[in-house]
Amino acid sequence: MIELKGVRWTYSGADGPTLDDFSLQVRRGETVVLCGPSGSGKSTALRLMNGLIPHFHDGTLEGTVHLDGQALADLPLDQIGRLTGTVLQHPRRQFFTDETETELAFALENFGVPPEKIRERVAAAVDDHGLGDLAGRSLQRLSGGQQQQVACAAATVHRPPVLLLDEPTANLSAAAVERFTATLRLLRAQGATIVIAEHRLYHLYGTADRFVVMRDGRIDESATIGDDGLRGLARPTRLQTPLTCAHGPSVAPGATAPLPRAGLRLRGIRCDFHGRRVLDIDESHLPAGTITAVTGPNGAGKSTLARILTGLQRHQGEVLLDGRPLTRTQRQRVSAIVMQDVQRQLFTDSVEAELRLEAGQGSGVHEVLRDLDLERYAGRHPLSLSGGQQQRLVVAAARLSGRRLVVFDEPSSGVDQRHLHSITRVMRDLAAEGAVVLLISHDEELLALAADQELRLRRLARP
Amino acid sequence: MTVRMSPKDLITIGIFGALYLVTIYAISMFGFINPMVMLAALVASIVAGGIPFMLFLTRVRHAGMVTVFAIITAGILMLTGHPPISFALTIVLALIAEAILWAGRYQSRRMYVIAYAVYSAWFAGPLLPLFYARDDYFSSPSMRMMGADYSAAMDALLSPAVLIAFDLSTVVFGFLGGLLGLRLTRKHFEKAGLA
Amino acid sequence: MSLDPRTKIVLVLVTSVIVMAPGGVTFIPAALALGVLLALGERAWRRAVALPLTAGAVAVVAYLLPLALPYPVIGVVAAVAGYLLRFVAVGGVALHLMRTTTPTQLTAALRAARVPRAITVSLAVMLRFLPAIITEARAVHDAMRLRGLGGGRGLLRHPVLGIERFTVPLIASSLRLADDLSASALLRGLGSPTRPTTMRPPRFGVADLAVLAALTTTAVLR
Repeated sequence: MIELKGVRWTYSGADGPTLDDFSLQVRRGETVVLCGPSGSGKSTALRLMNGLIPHFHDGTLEGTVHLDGQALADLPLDQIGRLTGTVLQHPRRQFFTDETETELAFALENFGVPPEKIRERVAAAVDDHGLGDLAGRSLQRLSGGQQQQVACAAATVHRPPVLLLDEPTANLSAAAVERFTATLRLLRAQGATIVIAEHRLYHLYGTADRFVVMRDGRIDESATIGDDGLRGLARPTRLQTPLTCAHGPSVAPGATAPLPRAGLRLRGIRCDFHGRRVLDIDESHLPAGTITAVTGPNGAGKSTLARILTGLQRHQGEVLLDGRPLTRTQRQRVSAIVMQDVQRQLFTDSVEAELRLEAGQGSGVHEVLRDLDLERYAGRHPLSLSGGQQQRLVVAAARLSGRRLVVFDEPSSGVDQRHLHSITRVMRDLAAEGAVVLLISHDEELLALAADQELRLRRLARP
Repeated sequence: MTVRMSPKDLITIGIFGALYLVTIYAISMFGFINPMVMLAALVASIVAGGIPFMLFLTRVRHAGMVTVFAIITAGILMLTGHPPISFALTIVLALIAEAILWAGRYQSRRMYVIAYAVYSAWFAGPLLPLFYARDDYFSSPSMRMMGADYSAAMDALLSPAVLIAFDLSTVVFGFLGGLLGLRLTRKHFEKAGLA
Repeated sequence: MSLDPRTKIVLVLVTSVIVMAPGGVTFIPAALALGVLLALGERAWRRAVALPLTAGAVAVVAYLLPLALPYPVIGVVAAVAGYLLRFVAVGGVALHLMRTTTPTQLTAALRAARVPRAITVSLAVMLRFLPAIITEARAVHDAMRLRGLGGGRGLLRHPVLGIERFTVPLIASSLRLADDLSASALLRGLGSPTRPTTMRPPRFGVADLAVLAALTTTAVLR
């Protein structure tokens, strides 16, 4: 069905090829998982299969890619689109419309399917994927798992024989991963040929026909699953993390850890958007020197809590640091945040300048660069780095900031095993220096590694 | 349009149209802090608009793209209440900018800067009715009660000369914005592989 | 009552052309009345009240303030307010279009009105992107505040540096988002040579005919 032969691909502006002498055959109806450390070329391999390379991304291509016997280099992108369905890593970013039904109709409309037929197909897809409850709701407000379901349905509504998925579970909770695996089985049973690029592997065991390990742009025949750099096949088991001392409508009930001495204390924190309450915490203590994981479903107010604590969001109630109430402006000065999309916080023209902006001429810049495996890139422009490298750069800046409150918002997406550990080490160092460290994450592996205690939020009931 | 634009071109136009509008509005929002800053913020937004516009021009390789850019950005502004004359002005400026880019074979960075300077004159568009429809206002009953001195002073303030001076200053700031956009393209976007 | 998006667009444009033209001042009350009627039609009670109040306040500044304070500075403010009044009048009608039409409906309407593909496709992309980029702009502003780079004061002290530190991350992160969206949209056939269809094509109804008839009559009588 899919055949790549001797492919060598270099992105324009890159130092060397991302894929080199890469060959792969996928049979009709087969489900293949591409795994390997970040930067090994998994996503690039998918882009070859849906024609984004060479039709969308610029670079030089050698070798051939055939889909169902046709050379992809000769087909226009919309023709390839009829044969393939693609789900990219962040479903939220690829939606073109604002609502489930219109999103499902999007491909069919562009392919010129008659209106009655579109309505019929859309209704069938809603049924197949169990999306009935989502009708009429804003796509941007759905949970990560629901967005993933809609994206899968939207990519397959025109019934392409091939489905390509790029890190489909990177931002999903454990329950959503299970639902996603069920969707995958459904599509597989319908006869689709499926290729998945993935870091997390445990959920695919039993569903996939074949695991292909990639390293440095080619297939590593000798590697076995579970090697260094790969996230294992075993479902991560998190020991019972003690719950943070907190109560209020937004907090899931449970036992609480003993009272801390230093750290952040929240009193009567309430926040409304457009007249609807999104966060309501009567009381909570976030101790200094500890990594507190903030967990809970989408819409439970995790990011809102982070914005309140760092002084970016108006709210009711007060926040005290070591017993002293702080205004929002004061909190902005003692806080740092590592955002989900880190390009938003890269301001300068070199990695080193970015860190100097935080640390001045102070020491520690080189140590941190080395710890995070960024030393080689000190002179590079931050925007020329890969996503994972940019993420580590912003983590490094947070490390050097000397702030008392440091928030990490989903720092592990697109990060492999080795760097998962180095990011955890940075959080530990910050905590050891007496900072309050907050970790917002769905990633069970990271939580198992890093979380000392857990503040579990829940969605507020609608009045 | 004689040249057929590829789907990728059309998406590029849409993305940069959105970036241009948001940049201009975000920067001019700083002006709401107090009225004294308002004029400075307007100037800053003309200059800042040069940055996405320059980056857009590095992706323009044939005729029509700047015109479509003008139609959708000015069109959406018209649907939110901007005067139709402003839309017409923007299209005319876009056509001139197209000619300038064509003269530079879509490669000349100097021509990019001049094209943005010319295009920036649209900033005067939303204010045009203030000048051409001023008689409406001055002939109102309350204005006729104000006396000849007052009317003369206002006449001088809202004269064509003032309009031309305003328009020329938008071109000057557009020129500066083009230069800044060019500098930042070299400093940041080229290294990031975005230009 | 709900109108076809095409009718709403025509309403905005006709109102704008008439009110912004020389002599348009006399049509301001009619445009405001239209704005209020449309607000009532979509049950936007607050706007139905706020629109005439805003217009009244602006009119006071434009026409009564100079009588009380006859200085040229006030005169300029008043003249600008006189112009702003036209904006408010057109804005009332425009708000109806914005609040009751999704980008998807607007694009379908323009497609049905035979607007060239180059414009409908790029406009659809722009409308899809505007809210996403506004979110990015807010996030960049947040990041600047935490780094101590942000705010209007920073922009005043070092205007060029301030602009650079805001626009560069904004553009970089937005283009990153854009890559995903463009890739997904192209693969799903956006802008392809096939003539696109619409799941629910817009249809003219009785209300549309009434509005268009009223518009034509007004235009002829004017």
